[in-house]
Amino acid sequence: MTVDPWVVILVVALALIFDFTNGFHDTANAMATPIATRALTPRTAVALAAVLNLVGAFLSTEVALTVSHGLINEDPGTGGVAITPAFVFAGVLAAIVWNIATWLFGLPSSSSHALFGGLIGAAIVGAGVGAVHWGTVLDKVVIPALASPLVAGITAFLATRVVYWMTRRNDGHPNGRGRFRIAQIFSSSLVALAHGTNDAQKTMGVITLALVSAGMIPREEGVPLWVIVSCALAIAIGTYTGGWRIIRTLGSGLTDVKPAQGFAAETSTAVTILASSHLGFALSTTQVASGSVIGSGLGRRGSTVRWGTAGRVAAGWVLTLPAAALVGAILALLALLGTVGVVLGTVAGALAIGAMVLVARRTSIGAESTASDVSVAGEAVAIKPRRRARAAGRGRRA
Amino acid sequence: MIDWLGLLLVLGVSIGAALAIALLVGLGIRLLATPTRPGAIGEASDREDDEVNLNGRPLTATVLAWVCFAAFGALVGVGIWLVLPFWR
Repeated sequence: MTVDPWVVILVVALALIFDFTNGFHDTANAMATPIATRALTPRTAVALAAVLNLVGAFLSTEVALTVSHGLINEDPGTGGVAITPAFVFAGVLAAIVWNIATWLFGLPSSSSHALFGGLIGAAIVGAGVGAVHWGTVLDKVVIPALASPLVAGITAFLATRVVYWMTRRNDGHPNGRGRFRIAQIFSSSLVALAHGTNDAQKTMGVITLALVSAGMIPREEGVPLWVIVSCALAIAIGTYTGGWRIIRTLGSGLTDVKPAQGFAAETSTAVTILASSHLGFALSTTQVASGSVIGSGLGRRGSTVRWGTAGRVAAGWVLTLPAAALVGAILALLALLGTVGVVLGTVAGALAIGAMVLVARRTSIGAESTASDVSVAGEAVAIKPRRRARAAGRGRRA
Repeated sequence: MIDWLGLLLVLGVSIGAALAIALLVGLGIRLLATPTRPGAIGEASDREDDEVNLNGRPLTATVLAWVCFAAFGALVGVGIWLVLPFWR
């Protein structure tokens, strides 16, 4: 089988763009609550997350060379679908389009589920419904999607109750629990590092598989260094760009986050992700982070959870797989036309993404709108009274 | 087949670890907020055997608080160890 090298180059470019969107989509998982509580300034938070994602991407070499992680039968001999660059093209472009759409609405959705959805849609077009392992979809996507927010929510609820009970002496003090901000930075950093080690591997696997399927590198060669470097940079740059819409939803849209609450939420996210990945029941980072924020909102007395926003987020989770599958199927149909179809699909995808970015620019949301209003009185770094008075004096003179 | 036992294990470990960290950090912050002992401020710098730090907080409370924070740091270290495959 001959493969047009331009299609492979296109797939590599799209995979890197997907990695970029994965980065900016998931910045919120680690940094939404530290930004909301002003434990870190927005730019510092995204810079820290970007560095940790970059480092994390280099630290793990456990790249799976099964693009769908068992969700799709990749063996054409047993009724599965042949993994070709055109197939990967359809799946990855569908995931990018869905990631941009959910970003436009400020919805923290799973990039992995979007990728799986796109690939499932392409597989159905390529080899029929039988090409999908529906049992594995239930085990690896549906049940974890239901379990993630529940596990993280219960954990964060209890952790929030504990930190408020332990520090009840500080009740009534305006910034009595401000020290939790520092601990929160450590928990958030751990989440960012874990994200870098896990998520960059996905794209490395996709690119490597596209190169293998095109016969450009042998399967046993492993992941080329340039793939590791480019994927690490793409996810880090995406993280630094900061998906401010999603950060706002997670940091202050679901509930107003205070420092102790943010610490409990971020700690719950970190321990749930680590426990799930090491005990053999992988949960979605995005859904864990969202569940933690909701759980911490329920755990703090006097706090309210905005269930309308939570419902919108949940709707995004439900729609991710089928919507990405639909887009993936349409792109795979176009890809059946050959290189012309791939070009048409690329143009259509680029137009859709361009239109969404234009709509987003009309209602621009930047770093300044991501901090929670309730914690504006707090400061990331305590300023001593004398310095504060001096600064105020300078302000008056100016 | 859905691994319900695995899910319950994840829930149990997550709750246990999160509560342990919350207790440690919460206790540390609570200890740092230990109220000043009557008459402590002003005497601290005068006597070498004074057990009160400059903030008026008992020295034991400060030391225990930092022990809690160090334990939290160690748990973060365990987390990094879990994240990085080549260390295992």
